[in-house]
Amino acid sequence: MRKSTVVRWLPWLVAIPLMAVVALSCVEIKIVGASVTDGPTADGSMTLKLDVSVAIEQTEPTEGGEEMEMPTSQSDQLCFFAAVLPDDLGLAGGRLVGEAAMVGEAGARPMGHSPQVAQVYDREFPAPEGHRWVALHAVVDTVDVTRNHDMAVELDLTGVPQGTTDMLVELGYVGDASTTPTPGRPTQLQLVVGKDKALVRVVPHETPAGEEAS
Amino acid sequence: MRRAVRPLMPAALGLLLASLVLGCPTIKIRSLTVESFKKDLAVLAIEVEVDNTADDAGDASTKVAIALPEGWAIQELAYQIPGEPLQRRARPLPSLAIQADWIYDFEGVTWWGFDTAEHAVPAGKHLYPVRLTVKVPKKTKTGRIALVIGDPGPDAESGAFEFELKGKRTVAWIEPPAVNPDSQTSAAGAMDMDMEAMMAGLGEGLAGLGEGLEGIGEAGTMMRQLGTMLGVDTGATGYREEWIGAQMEGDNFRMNGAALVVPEGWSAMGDAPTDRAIKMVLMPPGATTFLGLKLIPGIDAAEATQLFEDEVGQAAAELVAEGTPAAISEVTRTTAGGHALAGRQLRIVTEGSEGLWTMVRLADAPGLAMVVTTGDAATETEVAPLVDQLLDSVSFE
Repeated sequence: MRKSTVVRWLPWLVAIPLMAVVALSCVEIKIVGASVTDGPTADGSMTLKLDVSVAIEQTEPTEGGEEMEMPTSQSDQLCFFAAVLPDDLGLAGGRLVGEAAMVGEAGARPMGHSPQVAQVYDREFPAPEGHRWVALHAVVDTVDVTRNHDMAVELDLTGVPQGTTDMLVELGYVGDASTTPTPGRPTQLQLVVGKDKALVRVVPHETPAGEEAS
Repeated sequence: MRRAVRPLMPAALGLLLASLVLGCPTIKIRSLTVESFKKDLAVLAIEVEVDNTADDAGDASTKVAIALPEGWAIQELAYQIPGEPLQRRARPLPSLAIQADWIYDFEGVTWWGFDTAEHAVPAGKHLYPVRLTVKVPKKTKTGRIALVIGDPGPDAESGAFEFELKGKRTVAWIEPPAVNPDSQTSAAGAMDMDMEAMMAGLGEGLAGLGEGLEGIGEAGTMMRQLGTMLGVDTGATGYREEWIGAQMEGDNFRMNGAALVVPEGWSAMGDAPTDRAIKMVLMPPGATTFLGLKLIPGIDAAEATQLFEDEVGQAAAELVAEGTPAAISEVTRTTAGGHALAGRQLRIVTEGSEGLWTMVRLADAPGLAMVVTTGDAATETEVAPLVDQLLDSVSFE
């Protein structure tokens, strides 16, 4: 059974056919926490921070690969964020926050809007009435595949109404431009906004009977 | 958000190395037109010229990344393979869009990525008609377009070109794709393809055309040769040369085009909708409207009159069908830009944003010369001097 947030790393040096054996690293990206770092303002603007765990699991080399030197890093991973938001709630932008080697010396990289990712997601899993898919993207420079990483996504929201708002969010990546992002199993967030204070929490996945919680 | 110069990922490096060894196709945007524009959905037709090396030839899928103004949304990309009559739909590939956005430093655009089913890639220069169905938000008629075929990279860049939707049928280049003035190979290739027909049309087209207008041909080099033959000084101060035209006709690839000497500062673009007619759109500097010029060399007076009436009627019918109230009225001008008007000048007045359309037929043109003016809030007071200025710059004597 496919796990929602598990994406397979593609063969690293795809354009160098001499590499007979490649190591496939499994990466699990999980949203482990959420907080409000700025706002809410009077006009409903606020910044959400989603804490992300990037867990890397190195698989065993395939047959004949024992003598190959395994790559310790992977470059230019295309990272994207997708969310189902209420129509009235705007996503002005976002940032990918992490290690300098991954997102640059500033420790944060602005994310661009990806309407086509949102379009593809919406075609596969249409957003419910009154909601829409939105998506952002950024490129991660270098990922050290020998260890896990902690990252975060900061989201600038506008038009957030007072009261409770539910949203679905998902963070994923693809290793190259030939791979199409596909919707997985998004994480549910619940945002509670008061007059001058807001709280956000990650709603735990319901675990189907017989399946271990991830 | 992105860095224009950065170490490419190993895969891209491998592809770059491969491209150095194998060669890689070069691409150009040849034309951009609006096929239809209803409500907020526009169908844009782009003609892309791809020059495949012998090593590119074979069966392969093709990646296409397109940048359009922010807020525009591509609903569908259809394309046509040389030699195939049918259009195919491309598969959305958003990760290609993400990669292109990362590599190219074009402001004010959103990238869209697609790939095609595997198809035959012929060697040599070919035109690929691409049709984009685009959702266009209100009041965003101006923006940039860029197009990349293959993997995004420094060698695949097409450049970003400024354009503007003008009315329901036309696109005007603000910053048009550059034409390589040294396109000897291109011109020679076109001449080889259909030299006999081209020269026959050339003679027909040039029968009465004189200084200032060159007809039927290909790009720069050929135009200069024609200019020399005709004694036209295309390098005259205050004027510059524009060229247009390329088309796919059935299974046959045929280049068709024209050059026009336009006043300095005017921008121009156009296409050849048939192997006979040539359409140009000219934008005077600082004007809020544009002028369209249609030429059909060798047409006789009766056919010209009929075509003129048909075009006016068709334009009005399209406006009405699109829900724009339109009325045809006659204009009593008898001359324009020093030329006598043949028959009559007709004007289509709309209540929508398309403003005023004026169609003029000239008595002294050997073929049909038709000026169509439009543009938001265009008035006859604004349009009339521009028509005169355009016709002043083109002599049909």
